Amino acid sequence: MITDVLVKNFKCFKSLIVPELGRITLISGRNNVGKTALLEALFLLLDMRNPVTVLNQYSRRGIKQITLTTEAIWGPIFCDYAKDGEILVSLTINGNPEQVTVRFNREFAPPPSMTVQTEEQQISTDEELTTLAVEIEYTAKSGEKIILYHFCDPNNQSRPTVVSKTKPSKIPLQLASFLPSKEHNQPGEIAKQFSNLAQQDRENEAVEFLRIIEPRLESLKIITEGPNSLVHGKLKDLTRTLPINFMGEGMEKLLALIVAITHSPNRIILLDEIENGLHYSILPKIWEALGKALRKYNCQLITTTHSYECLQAAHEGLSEMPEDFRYIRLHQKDDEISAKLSNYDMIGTAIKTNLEVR
Amino acid sequence: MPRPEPIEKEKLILAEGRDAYHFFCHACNFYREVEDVQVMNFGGNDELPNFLSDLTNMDKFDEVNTIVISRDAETDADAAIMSIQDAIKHANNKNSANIPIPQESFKYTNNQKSSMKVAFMIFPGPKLKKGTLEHLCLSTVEGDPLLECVDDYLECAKTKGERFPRAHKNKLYCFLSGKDDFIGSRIGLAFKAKVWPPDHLALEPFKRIIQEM
Repeated sequence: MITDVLVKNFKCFKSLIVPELGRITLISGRNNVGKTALLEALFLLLDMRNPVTVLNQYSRRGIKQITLTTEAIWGPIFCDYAKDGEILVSLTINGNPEQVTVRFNREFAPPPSMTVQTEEQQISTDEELTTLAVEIEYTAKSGEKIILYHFCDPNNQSRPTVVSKTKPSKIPLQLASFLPSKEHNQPGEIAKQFSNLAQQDRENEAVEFLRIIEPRLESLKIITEGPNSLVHGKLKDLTRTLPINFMGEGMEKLLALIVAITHSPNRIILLDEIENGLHYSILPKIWEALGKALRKYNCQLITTTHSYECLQAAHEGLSEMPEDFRYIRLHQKDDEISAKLSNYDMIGTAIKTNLEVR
Repeated sequence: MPRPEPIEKEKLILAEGRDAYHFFCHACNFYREVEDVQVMNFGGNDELPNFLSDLTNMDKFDEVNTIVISRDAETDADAAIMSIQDAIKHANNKNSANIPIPQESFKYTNNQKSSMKVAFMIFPGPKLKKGTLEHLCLSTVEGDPLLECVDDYLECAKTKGERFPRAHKNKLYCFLSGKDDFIGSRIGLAFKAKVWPPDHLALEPFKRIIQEM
């Protein structure tokens, strides 16, 4: 579980300290204050072994193609595109400090044998080709440093690559999921995770959770059609199953969330705009069920919202686990962003007295 | 659901409950020439520590230059002062805020290191060890012949078995009911209607705090 965060020189954050995160942390704030960027900063560390982690950030924000220049690929993650600066993400995870620094390395030339991982990603290539590398230095709790290079290989232009002088397996793997707001979650990935749940005969945990918004749901199944596997739901009085994605945004979102929590424990889940696609009236029950599931599987949820109703619902739904709840409002003054922390009782008073705390 | 209330003004009065809230709203309209004060209701005294912590976390709190916190002395004005001081300390510790802490009621802080001044009003007024805002209101109509009738009525009610644990409220609302124009009025509307003479000597400390915000 992440408890403390320091982010420097990442996107809109010159320097941001976020203390005392809880098992359930709800982040709010005005538009463009960095709510999603904060989730991305956390995921940058958690997902650093993934060569397309940065490109995935752009993809979740709707940018599917990117020009192959240093500026276009790596510039947006640096505060004010300050490429000469250094990004720092420092987290306390399960009581241990871990950090990554990210900096440009224009001289980097990878030996081919060092390539360890590749992923598909579509990139257009209509500009100069250089060695487009950033150097990611990971510092473990022991103080040991491991350096990774994320780069776009001019000889293999469509595939960003990560190389390391060290075996990536030396980097401790913290289980984490990023569930975006706008993009649909990958149905195949959800099916894989659900399949894991089904193998343990625990698919009913997901069914019960989804019944909060669809009481007619009787069961969930993996259905394979051609090369694709999808999670289908069987509704009462219907003769055949339907893909969950056809049952609405809320169902799809909750399925992704509950399988992320239940299919393997000790996971950190970053969820953008939790209330999207969900009717306000069921939010308290969702928070209550989420709280129980997060505790049961020792998971952490860090999520964003714009909605006062969502905040009220969290307060109502988490009444039996107030110590697990934190609320953070990102606050901008001039070009500095800071985090304002509230606990469960403070939010209770704010709601009771109708204060605008978003 | 009413729209959640943001900080909209640089001068804030924090009121204990709805009656006090309306009383201060009308008092500000009367005593001040411009509408530059925001009155906020912090509910009950138990809520004040968290309310202040919430306030320091809110957007535009860093633009606030004056805070007046009010509550009733009830049975012990010194304890009321201490509870507000503790509430401010709680908010300062919780959120690294730097709200100055007054040492006595009806007197603004004068902290050179802070751009904010703070006062608290413990009702009925300075140097009074117990009582409420309603007591202050009643003190402005002392001598009104109607009060004799109110006292007689309440005495009569007692002989019929009624008990008045908050006798000042019974007295105040009996008094207002005895005036045809103010039946059903709360203390705020009564202020607006000048039932409580706004320039009465008993209201002077209150008036001064409002005017010096």
